[in-house]
Amino acid sequence: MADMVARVEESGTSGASRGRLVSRREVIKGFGMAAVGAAGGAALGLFGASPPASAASTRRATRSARLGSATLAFSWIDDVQQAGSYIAQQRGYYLDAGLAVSFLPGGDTYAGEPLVVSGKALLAMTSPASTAAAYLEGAPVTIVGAQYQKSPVSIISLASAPIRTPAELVGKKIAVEPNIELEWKAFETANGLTGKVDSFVTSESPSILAAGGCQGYTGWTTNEAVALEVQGVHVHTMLFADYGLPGYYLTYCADSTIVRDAHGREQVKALLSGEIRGWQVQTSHPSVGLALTLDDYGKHLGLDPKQQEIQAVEQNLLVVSPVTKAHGLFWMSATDTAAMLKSLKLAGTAVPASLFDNSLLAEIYGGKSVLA
Amino acid sequence: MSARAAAVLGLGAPVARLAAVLALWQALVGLHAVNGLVLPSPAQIVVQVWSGRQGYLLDARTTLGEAGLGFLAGSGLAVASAILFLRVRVAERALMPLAVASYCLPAIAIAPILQVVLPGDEPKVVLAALFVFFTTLTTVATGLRSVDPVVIDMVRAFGGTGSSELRKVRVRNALPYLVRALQLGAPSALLGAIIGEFLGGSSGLGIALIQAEADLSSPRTWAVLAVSGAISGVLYGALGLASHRLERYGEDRASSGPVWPSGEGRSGAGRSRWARKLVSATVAISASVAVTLGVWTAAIKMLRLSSYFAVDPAGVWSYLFSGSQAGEDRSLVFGQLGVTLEDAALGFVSGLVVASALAAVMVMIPRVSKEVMPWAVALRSVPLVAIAPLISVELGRGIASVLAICAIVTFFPTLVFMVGGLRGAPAAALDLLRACGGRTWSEFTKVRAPTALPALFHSARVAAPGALLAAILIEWTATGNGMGAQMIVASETSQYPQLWSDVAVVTAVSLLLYAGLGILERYVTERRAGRVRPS
Repeated sequence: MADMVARVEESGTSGASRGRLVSRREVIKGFGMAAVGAAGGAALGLFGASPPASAASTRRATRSARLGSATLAFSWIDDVQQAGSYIAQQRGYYLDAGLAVSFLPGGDTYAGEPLVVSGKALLAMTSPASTAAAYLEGAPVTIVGAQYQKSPVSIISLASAPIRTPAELVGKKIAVEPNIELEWKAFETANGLTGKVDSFVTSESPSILAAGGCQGYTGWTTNEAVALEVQGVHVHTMLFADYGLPGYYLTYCADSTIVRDAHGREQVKALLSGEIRGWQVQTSHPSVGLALTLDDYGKHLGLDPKQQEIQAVEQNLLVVSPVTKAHGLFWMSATDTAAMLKSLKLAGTAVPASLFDNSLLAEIYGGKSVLA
Repeated sequence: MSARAAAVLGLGAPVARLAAVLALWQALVGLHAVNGLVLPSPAQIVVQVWSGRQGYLLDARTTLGEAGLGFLAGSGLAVASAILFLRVRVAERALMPLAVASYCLPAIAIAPILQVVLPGDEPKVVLAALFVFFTTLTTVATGLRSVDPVVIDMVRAFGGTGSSELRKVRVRNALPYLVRALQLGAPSALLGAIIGEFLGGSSGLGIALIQAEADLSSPRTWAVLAVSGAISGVLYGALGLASHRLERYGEDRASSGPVWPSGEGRSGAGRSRWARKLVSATVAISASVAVTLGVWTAAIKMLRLSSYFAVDPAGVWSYLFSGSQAGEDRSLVFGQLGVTLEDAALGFVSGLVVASALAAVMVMIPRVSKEVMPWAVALRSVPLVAIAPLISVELGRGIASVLAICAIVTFFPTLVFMVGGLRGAPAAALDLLRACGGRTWSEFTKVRAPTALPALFHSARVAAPGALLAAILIEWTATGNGMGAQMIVASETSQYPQLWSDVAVVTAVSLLLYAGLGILERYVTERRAGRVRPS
């Protein structure tokens, strides 16, 4: 007992020798450092908590919106893919229709249907395959417009060893992105290629093609193929849509219960009107949306201006078609929808035609093909 | 020569070595000996960081904001929980497994669910907190408990209550542990925030990473890596300074090793004690399983999540066992699990072995410690999410990549624990050995290694879930095999019953590994404690 007491007394004097207890001074120092650490953490938290957003995303409605506010969920981060929407917000097209719209940028791990079903977004940009899969799982979803009349999914191959037709895929090593896997399988079925192609699923970027890790890559013509070209890798693309798997892409997904509700329907139509007018501008003058993307919405993302410029032109080729010229942007004609359903069936997701609801667009256009 | 000159020279050597490595790297890329598309030269990276500095500053600010909030929340909750568990035994038994589950959960798979449930940037904050919470909890708890029982006895003898015991002794004892935990927590919070940003956003290091990869720009990817690594390193270093000051006082205390749970061991008849422990453990586990399932179901109901994407335990059960396709579903899920486990195990064991060996060298030859630690910090700081694809392009889509990433994930915590464990040999024992003429090698084998055995098991226990999650991460992002690949396909094709089943199975397996290794660790620790304790 005595030696224990002695140890306590001893440690109380200077700092800890090899004694057991920490001296008061050291404890204060320790608490001090921990407090500094915590304060630093708090400072960082507050400092960063409201990062200077771009002018666009802090834009508030300058007039009251009679239909209230809503969110549009993008499938990707802020680049030129959403150019038409940026134009619509900047020029007030959504507000003209009575709706205050804010954007929810997407990214790598994006799932649009849950956002719509949970009410976090009024509309979400997704793909027909994804919405069909959700529908089959019991989600109350519907597709109310098709931004891309033709799917951008293609087989990207090196220009030095191009894959020009489905037949040339036999025996080749093809890298398939995970969210394209179903469409790829459908493409194989449509072209009688099942079991004949050495395909594998990977999340790797298209540089795997340049690095020799595959002979073909299932990617988009609008961005991935262009990115490769800009990096100096010359490529050839073969669209799925041209070889047995026609279909829409970047479709507007909505909650079907909201579409049936009077107020909800008006909101969706207002959002779509804004989108139509924004994309009308973008499809006739791609440089407008490009400038808005590079100088405002995507300013700090480190976008490659060259790649974005080419993409802006490429994507318009998929947005505009004889059908949209006749009936208006995003139109889902009966013929195209029938072809779409056939492709979905091939992919193993057979859905009823009612999943594609063109009635809202019909009401918006009222027989015209352009919105003033 | 003067002390200052010696200090500068001492600093000079590692810096010179770093410069040499950078020069070699630059030369290799310049001579096209290394594929420039995958590995840009240091010069390119520097140019890239400089030219994009405005954007990176903004991104860093955003991510640090999310990470900072998550770090505070996670650490604060961890410290509060550690104190609660210490004082209220029932709370520990009931809630600890929930805490372990939070560690074993594959965070990347729950990110989409978080985004639906929480507004704005909160999913990223939650992920950052998740990455920090459990390791901080266990480290602080260890610190609170690994007090010399003699001192506790003395406090009680002088009439102290539980709370004064806490204030006067345990908290002070836990300080070095707390700071070490915060030190490890900072890079983890950053990693969690970056993974959260993969969901999407308008700025942040994770967003910058997405854009860099979309542009197929490896200089830009590396630039983001460099910026994230630098931030991580600075945070780690700053907290490391604080830790080092207090580390001296932690040395003697580590003689009883990391102990979990209460380390004030009891002696008693061997077999019946273990039987009793088994029974109480089973009861505890059943209770916590019930709590976990209850919380899970309740959360879905309270948040009114659509059953389309929010699957409750009943749904998972139906998918795996009672549904019409249950047999096929099971073989799908468990088949992929087997693939992931195999791959992760290899990397895990490699990481343990390499880290332990290196720790031994570092403790026996202090100069090596000075050289190696900065590299180890850098490696640990760089976000895995970015390394994973780079590793897979260099090492291929197969087992080598999984092995590498699991080894890396296992390596650093093991290194830290093993160095601590090897250094924490009781001074008295070392003195005795040296007085009897023992050499360095026998010092190692007779004193340090046995002292570090609990640390080895502790490292294994801590690293096992991490290795499993790293395997899933690289499968998610690159290899296309195993559980990770299955999860991403499931989340993108609305196969939510499968996704939730995958998450549940992975968490359960991770928990089992953690618990199993924990039992081993306690066994080893108590045997050690029995030998070392002064009678």
